Amino acid sequence: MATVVRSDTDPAVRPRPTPARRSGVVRRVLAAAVVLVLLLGTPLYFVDSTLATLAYCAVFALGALGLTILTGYAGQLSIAQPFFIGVGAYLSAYLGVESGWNVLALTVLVVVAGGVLGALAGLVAVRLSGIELAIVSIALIAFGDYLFNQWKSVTGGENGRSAAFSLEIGGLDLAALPGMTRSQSLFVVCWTAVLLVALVARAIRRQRAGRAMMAIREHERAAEVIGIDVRAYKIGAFALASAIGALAGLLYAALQQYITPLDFDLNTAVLFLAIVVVGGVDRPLGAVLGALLVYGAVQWVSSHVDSWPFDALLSSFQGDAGLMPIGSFLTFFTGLLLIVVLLWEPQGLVGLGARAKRRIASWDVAARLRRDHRDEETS
Amino acid sequence: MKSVTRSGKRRQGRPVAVTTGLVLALTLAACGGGRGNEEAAAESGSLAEVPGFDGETFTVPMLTVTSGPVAAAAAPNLAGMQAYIEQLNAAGGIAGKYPIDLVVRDTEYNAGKAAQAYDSVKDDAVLLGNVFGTPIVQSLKDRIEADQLLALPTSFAADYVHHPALMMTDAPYETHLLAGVDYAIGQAGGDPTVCGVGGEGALQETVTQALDYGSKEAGYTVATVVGIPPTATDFTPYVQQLQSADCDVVGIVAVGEPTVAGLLAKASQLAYAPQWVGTSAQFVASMQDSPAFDYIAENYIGIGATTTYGDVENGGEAMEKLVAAHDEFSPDVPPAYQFVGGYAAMMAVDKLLTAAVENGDVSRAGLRETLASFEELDFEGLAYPWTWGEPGDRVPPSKYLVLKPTKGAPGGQTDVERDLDVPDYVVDYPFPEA
Amino acid sequence: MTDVLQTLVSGVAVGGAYAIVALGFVIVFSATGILNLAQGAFVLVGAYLTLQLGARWGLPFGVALLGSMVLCAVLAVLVERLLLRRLSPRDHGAAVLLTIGVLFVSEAVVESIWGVEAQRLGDPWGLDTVTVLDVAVAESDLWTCLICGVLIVATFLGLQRTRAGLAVRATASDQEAAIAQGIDPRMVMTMTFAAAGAVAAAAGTLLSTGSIGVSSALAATAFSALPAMVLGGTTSPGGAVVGGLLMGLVQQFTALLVPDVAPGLGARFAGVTPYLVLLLVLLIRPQGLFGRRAVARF
Repeated sequence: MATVVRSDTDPAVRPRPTPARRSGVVRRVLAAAVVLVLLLGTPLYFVDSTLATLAYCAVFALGALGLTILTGYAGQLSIAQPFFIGVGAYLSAYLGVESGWNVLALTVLVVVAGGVLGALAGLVAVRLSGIELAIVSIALIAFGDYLFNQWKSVTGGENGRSAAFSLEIGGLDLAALPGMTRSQSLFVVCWTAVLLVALVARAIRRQRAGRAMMAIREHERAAEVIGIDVRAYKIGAFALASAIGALAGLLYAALQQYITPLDFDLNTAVLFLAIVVVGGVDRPLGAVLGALLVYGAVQWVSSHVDSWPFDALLSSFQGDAGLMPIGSFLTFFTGLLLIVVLLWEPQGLVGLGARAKRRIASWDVAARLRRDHRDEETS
Repeated sequence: MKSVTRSGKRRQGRPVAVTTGLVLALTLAACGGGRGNEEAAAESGSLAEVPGFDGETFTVPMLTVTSGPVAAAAAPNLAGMQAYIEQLNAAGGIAGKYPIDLVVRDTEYNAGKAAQAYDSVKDDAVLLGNVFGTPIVQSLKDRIEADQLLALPTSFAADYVHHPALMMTDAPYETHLLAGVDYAIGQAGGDPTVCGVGGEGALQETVTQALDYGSKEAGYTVATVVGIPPTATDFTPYVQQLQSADCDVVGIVAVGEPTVAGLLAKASQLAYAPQWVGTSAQFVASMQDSPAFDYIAENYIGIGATTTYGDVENGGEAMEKLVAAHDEFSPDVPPAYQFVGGYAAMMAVDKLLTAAVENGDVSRAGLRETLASFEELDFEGLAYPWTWGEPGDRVPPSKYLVLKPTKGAPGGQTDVERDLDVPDYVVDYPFPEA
Repeated sequence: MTDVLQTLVSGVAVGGAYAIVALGFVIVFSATGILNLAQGAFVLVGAYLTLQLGARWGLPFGVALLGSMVLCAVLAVLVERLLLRRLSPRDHGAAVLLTIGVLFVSEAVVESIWGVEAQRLGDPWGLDTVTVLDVAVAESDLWTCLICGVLIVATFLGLQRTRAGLAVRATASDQEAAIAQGIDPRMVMTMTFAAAGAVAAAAGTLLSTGSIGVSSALAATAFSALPAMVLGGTTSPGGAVVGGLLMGLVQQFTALLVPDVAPGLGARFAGVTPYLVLLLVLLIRPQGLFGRRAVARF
């Protein structure tokens, strides 16, 4: 009986550098160039108000990236991301405005605080199963609402507080980058943050940590059986997601310059859910696309409410003609998005892309088969 | 199959890239570019163009609430404002020549959304016709000041009286609360125990401070101030707190009608009947068909500075015009107190812009100057006037009226006493400097 | 003492409302494993349907209520058939998110049709109270407790004494074994959703009696009742009721005591205490008060 399994040294099985690997480097350089152009070119093309909206999209994308790790990789359905965003926002607003903390120090503090709180939440969460976890995360939102309203000396209570802290590091003011307006500068800063975190998230996905988390997502018991420390990875996922959320909170506060408890409530939590569902929950790109599409769409509608078709369809105020009040429309839109996406493409936009890829690949095969068949027939 | 694998790999990133490209293209198309497309302001006609005035029309944005639970409170106010503007535009506009374009934006009573709404309208605004809600005004006032804009707040907090960027048209809570408590004590005779109720948080604080001041100046005892959270659905504990403090007069400043209605209804169920004194802004006509109406009519009075809708005897010609405006432009809106308030606020805007047009300067600085030159903010009988002047010299109306819930009356209430003098110590209330 | 009794009564009233909503959650969850947040939508629509049938179209209140319950049951079945059934039965996460979508869409539609203002339900009890032992008990609260009790009994009888109930219990216990016995899991799902819809309509209507009226804020009440469900044990209808009552009592007593005992905590603290109780119970007894510990199978 001839050996079936050949050794690695057999030239027939040794992996050869395929052209695909070379083109991979080209692809990466090209992607980096595109991203750089977008990052620096967009501020030159759009007006300030659009850039402001896009900067908010970045903040939401950042918050959603935390969910990509927690829910997408590790499969933990937590609704409490706005709580950690709120913690980051209030910490930076208070210490930045009242005590003049430097923005770099604030970033470090906020990330650490978010991580610690997230780890604590994780400690509680490891004992809970899916539905209980979801409900306890709702409890965390409720607790956040109480805290942000009650601790008036720090948070300003229900009227909120100023978050106009300085963004200077050394001599560089992040809100006034050389030659740029405030909106332009903040656009660059926020999307740079998204880029960095997205790269980290992508790296995690490819490492052991990512695979371990995905194993936990698929079948917790089996993961435990093969030796994955489920507890540690769950707590780690929570800590990481919360740290990212807290960072998003700092940027949110810097953008809006004023924060109130309503910014971190259940509606925001559902908005995040819509973002990761629409974009695709298990890839960093999904968080970015979801934020752009969902939040961007919501904002676009809000600012175009006076023009066609919205002025006819929506009523801006009581007594205005229209099918639906404008505020209800946004709720309606978010809900409808969730329903439509979940029914037709539960993997979101990223899944849509994957499906397109498979379809294109299958066309290729079909075309090839047809050609081979034709060749066969004519020969 | 090797070639398929290779080409399959090559295409791996593409569909994702395609999707990204599509989304970005959509974003680009939707947002439009336009940097550097802004038109330079040009001199034309007799009035220089400024942000919010293009030579023909004044653009006046309104940051109000048209969705969510607060929308019901904001609606009559907005309707009143719109009715005035439409009536004005039908007659040609400011000075008969310049119509006003109202741009209504929903803030959803959320400071975050308000900030974004403000950003989207501030560059094309001659002034802000309305900013509705204390948290919204709080979050925006510094930016409004920085942008040198003027805004009319529908919020009656003490800080706004002397604020240079804000133009209050109705009396602050403190004035009406203290005047009302004073009135109720006078009616009750003897030495009644006074208590307060406020929406948990800032309003509770307002009530506490105001009653503190009042008790020191007028010598009455304040037993307790109860705070009610906005999410409360059962008001038993709050009524119990008032009952156990033996309150005879309760001044109430809350955010919305549901809270007031719920509290009073529960009090009637628990057979507790102090003299309730409210700042009448809360009393909406819809309480008329509440099962607790009789109790409310019996035990609640509202304090206001605005003439009741339809009261032509006291409101004169201006009231006739107001009723006509309501019937023509917003007949479906119930004619509540706030309708008159909104209408009167726009009357002030009309006077301001007319005077500014006469002075030939409708820029933001020009408007401020013109405004500071007014000695009085007069509403032609629709509401009691303010003493005006520089921001630091403003004094809230020195007269008030007492409203009683009345079934079938427009707005659900009628004034039972008018032209009462606000006590001196209340006129002298130390509103904070800007 | 009267104070305490009065607070007790208000606690039971508030808790009874939570209990009925939580009951609807548990009915669906125990049989299908889905956290049906659309229950909030059914509560909301149920209240508005009663408003429409009763106050607007003039039907007697009881008839309007029953009509609303039937219509809501139909609505719930439609949601289940047209939407939830298209998802993979094992994908509970997606189901939860889908039901949130339904909740939001319903909120918007309700606001569009009936407006955003709170409206009187036109119930026959209004603010009438009955005084027992110096304590004023609102008639609407009495009826809430009564109807809640009737629904509980009906649920129990339905589950224990009917064939349909047997099918539901079998599916809840072990779906595959139930299928092997010839029980159609989709039929079970339809039945539980119908029951949940009917219960929700009753809950929504009762929550809107008195002076508060009907408004779209009802949807949020559904979220508030979730802790009751988990507190009592996610698979136990009786647990949902006990959990709801417990939450209501804790909330009202806290609201009464905080200003005297710990004013620094503020009046909002009462709203947080149910969640604190929930957390406490879960840490000590993760399956809730009456739940059974889930046995994990491979």
